Amino acid sequence: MSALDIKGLQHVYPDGHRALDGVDLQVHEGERVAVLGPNGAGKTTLMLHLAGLLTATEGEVSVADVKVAKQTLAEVRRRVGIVFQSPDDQLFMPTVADDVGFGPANLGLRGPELAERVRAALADVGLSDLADRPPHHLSVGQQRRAALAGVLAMRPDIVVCDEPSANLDPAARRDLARILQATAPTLLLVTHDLPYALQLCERAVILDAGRVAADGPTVEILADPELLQRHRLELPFGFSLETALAAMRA
Amino acid sequence: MNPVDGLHRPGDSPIHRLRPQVKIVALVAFTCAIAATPREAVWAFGVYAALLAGLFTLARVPLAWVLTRSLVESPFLVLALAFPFMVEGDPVQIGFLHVSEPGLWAGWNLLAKATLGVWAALLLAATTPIAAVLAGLSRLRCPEILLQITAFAIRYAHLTVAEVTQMRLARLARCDDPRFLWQAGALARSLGVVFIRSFERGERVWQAMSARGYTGRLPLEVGPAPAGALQWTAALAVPAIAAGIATWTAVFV
Repeated sequence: MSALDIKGLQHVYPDGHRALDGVDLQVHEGERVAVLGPNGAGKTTLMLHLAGLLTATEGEVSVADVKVAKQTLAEVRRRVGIVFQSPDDQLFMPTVADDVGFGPANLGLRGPELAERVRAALADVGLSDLADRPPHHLSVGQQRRAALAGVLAMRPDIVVCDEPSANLDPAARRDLARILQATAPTLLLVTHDLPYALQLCERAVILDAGRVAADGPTVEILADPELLQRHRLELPFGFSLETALAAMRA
Repeated sequence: MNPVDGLHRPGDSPIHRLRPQVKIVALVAFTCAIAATPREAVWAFGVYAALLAGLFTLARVPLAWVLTRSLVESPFLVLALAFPFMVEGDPVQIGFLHVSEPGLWAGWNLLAKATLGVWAALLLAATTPIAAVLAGLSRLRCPEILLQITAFAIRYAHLTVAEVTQMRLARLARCDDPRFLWQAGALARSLGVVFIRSFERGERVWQAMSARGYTGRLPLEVGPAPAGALQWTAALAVPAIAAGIATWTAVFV
């Protein structure tokens, strides 16, 4: 079954800027897909469409066979869990536990059932000890894990992460990768951090100028320097694909 | 501590252990009793101050903390000091100063009531985390829109203060010298930028909330447990004494 199905999606902003120009993308259940692209490629606009936060100019989005429309918003937002780039935009309740409970409470959960969801989600991301802290007292890495817990608590069918590795130190980056591998079987990773995409996703698509420019196994896409260069992407200085693959196999 | 982190001082005193909703009701009742006490009943204000001092001791809040935090009422103090010179009425001589008697009473009235009110509020703030205050207000059926606005203001004031601080440091790093008045323009422009950024952040926060199913109601009722009769009796004892004194003085003084 396809977890996500995007057909001919176009989005034109009121100022005339065409951010998406006919995106076609299908993500199957249990598949981890990286959406790669330079700044301004339309990655964030695409992500907002997945939860019906923008209205498509043309085309349609379906999540687990539920078409995104005004009547299905609640259902779609339960199925798609979006972790936004800035945790400060996402964590707004007085304590971490309250924030993690925000989504499930919106789904109508209350009392022990809600508490159990919050407890389980915080345990999944390793933040059980910080449940009663205000989110702004956490480090960036902890904040991003708290934001992920807030999404996992809704038991989504697909997790969408926008630049999850931004501003993280190497250890926090590694922790988050491990947690995503364990908790998000179906993942859409929106990023221009190519090594992170390789580490987490077996498949990658390149989004440029509002269109899908390439779609294939992450290894093959990263092994094509000309393709990357055409879309203003490149592997970090000194990064060796062979070494990375050997490390992943080990 | 960051100014927007609140004034809470973690502890385990009997006052810390009271449920937030009973403390809020006690604060409101106590403040009303202070306001209702006639200004001529000077001794009554002394009793109120002694009651508060006892509660601060019980909560292990040091005097120096209370005094420095009381500076928030400085503007009112200035006004209270100005009353004896501004209000017309029978003059009295204090040393070499000619001041008006009704002005003196008005100044005293403002000084005593504002100070006691601030101290009572500080007692609540010192013994109750902000999240618990909000939960207590929710329990007391405070209109949800007010709770939402307060919760957001507290959460995002922290970010805005951090942003203003960062921008100030960035200006200083480029040789800005804010001591000079003519460089206030840079500060004004930074504040404009902060406003625009906060506005845009508001939009992103709304998107993130909607993505998690927000439809206009915050689940803030995930609040504190109800308070038993013992809690209510303990919390309302002091306001009850104050109300008794206020009634007594209003009738007999």
